[in-house]
Amino acid sequence: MTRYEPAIILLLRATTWGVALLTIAFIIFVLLNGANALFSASGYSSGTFGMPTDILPPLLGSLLLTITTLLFALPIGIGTAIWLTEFAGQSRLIDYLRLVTIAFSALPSIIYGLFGMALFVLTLGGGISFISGVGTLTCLLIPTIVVISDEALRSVPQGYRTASLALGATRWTTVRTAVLPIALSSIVTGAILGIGRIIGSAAPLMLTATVFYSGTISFSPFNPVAALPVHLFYAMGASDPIAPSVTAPLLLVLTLVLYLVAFGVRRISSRRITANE
Amino acid sequence: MNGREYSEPLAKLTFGIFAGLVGLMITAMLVLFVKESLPFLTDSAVFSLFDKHWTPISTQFSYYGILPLLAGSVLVTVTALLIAIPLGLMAGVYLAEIAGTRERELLKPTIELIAGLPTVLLGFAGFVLIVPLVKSLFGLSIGLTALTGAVVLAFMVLPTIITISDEALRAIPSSYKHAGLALGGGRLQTILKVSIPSAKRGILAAILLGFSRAIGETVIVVLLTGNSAQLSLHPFLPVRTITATIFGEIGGTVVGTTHYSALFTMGLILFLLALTCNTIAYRFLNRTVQL
Repeated sequence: MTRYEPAIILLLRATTWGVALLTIAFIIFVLLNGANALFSASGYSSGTFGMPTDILPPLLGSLLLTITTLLFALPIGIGTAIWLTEFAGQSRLIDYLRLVTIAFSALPSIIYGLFGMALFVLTLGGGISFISGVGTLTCLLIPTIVVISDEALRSVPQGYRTASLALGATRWTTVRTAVLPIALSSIVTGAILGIGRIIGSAAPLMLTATVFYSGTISFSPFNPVAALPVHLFYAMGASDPIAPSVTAPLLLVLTLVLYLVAFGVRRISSRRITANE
Repeated sequence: MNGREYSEPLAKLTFGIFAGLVGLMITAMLVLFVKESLPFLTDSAVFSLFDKHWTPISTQFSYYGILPLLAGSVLVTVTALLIAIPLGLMAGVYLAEIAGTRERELLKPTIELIAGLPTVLLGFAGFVLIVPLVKSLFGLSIGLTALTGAVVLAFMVLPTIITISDEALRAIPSSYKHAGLALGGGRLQTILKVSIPSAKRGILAAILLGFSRAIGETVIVVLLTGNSAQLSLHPFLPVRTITATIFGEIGGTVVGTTHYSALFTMGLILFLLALTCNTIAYRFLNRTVQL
């Protein structure tokens, strides 16, 4: 065994670096492919292959869907986590609730798509529309936000709470002034990564909120909306050589920016906490 | 002063209502799936559930056999895991036990980035790169096969398997490893005989979560596996998974028909399968941490 040790360690190292380098290669491929398509697009007029080249409406649609979803998912998710950690006390039931929530956070997104379709599109009569999409994405995101906030709140040392309570502060004042400020950076990091999950999800939106984007779209909450991942999906099916190659880097850059911001927040806050100690 | 007196019960009530909403959502999901599946489950068509044919809109007789779809899902998922588990565990072991701090800080976020990528992007890259590769490499007439989807799915689940097995391995008290080394075991022997057995629940959780992610993925398999519902376990043939069937057919069905309800039954089966895997996995993870 010892004789082969250097070789095996080399193999493990090569595998790990291989996976990481494959990720980098993937990013470079999508970007170069997009740049290449842009340069070869001279003389290409909008709609040549049945796909519009104007990707502003899908981009705008994705941003609006994401922001509106966050307006609902963040308060409900963080609020639920505060209730779980600070008000609910400890019981088996709460433990089960935590386990169920975390199991729901890792459910396939098509399940949320079906649920959103049955609930928002059909039962509540929202139809294929922006609001049905927001409802579906909110359901998809909430368990993730609950799990992340719950973990962040629970990792705050109990001493912070007892100190504040001993000074006569109420539970809520304690949470607001002593617990949340410390947990906030972890919650923000997790929320940003959560955004990545909803901004790129195509399947749930295609069941609840979008139709084939043909170049004209009206922005009304009761109408279908265009979204980047869905646009990319249809563009590939339309065997259009330009539209998918241009849409893909936009979606990738959006995801990467979110990831880097989340990474930066985590970096800065961990440094600040170390400096404080 | 008044505001302060009311703020405490008000906060408690508001957050309690939010928690109630989340509980309601979870219950509503289960109830609605069962409700939409019931028309099919109580129809005589349910007897064709284990048939070898999925022909819901046939003019002669509609078969709702789940077997070809299940075979498609299982074939794609198992192939993906056969690629991802060995690679993922090797990388997990390397990150947890061998890599230095700087190297780890560089590699881990890069690998975790994959988990945040929109799957439609992975499908796009697979469509442009892997489809022609599989086609020419194996001399096939069409590159949209179970294997094509599995390769991209494997890449998709790698960060899940790597991150969770890495964390499980790092949660083992270092005294275990020191004992292994002190007994004269080499570095690798300690990893194989001490670290991996101690972290086996966490590693199992990593595999279960990878399975649940892969079997539930929709867009990648729709784009890459060819969408042909045939009962076969051959990786070079096009297949059609449960997710691709739901995704492809639900928009075209009439609400309230047997077909619509049958699709929800497929959804319910997938729902319960993923929920079971996730619940077991997270129970395992909890214990690993408490070890």
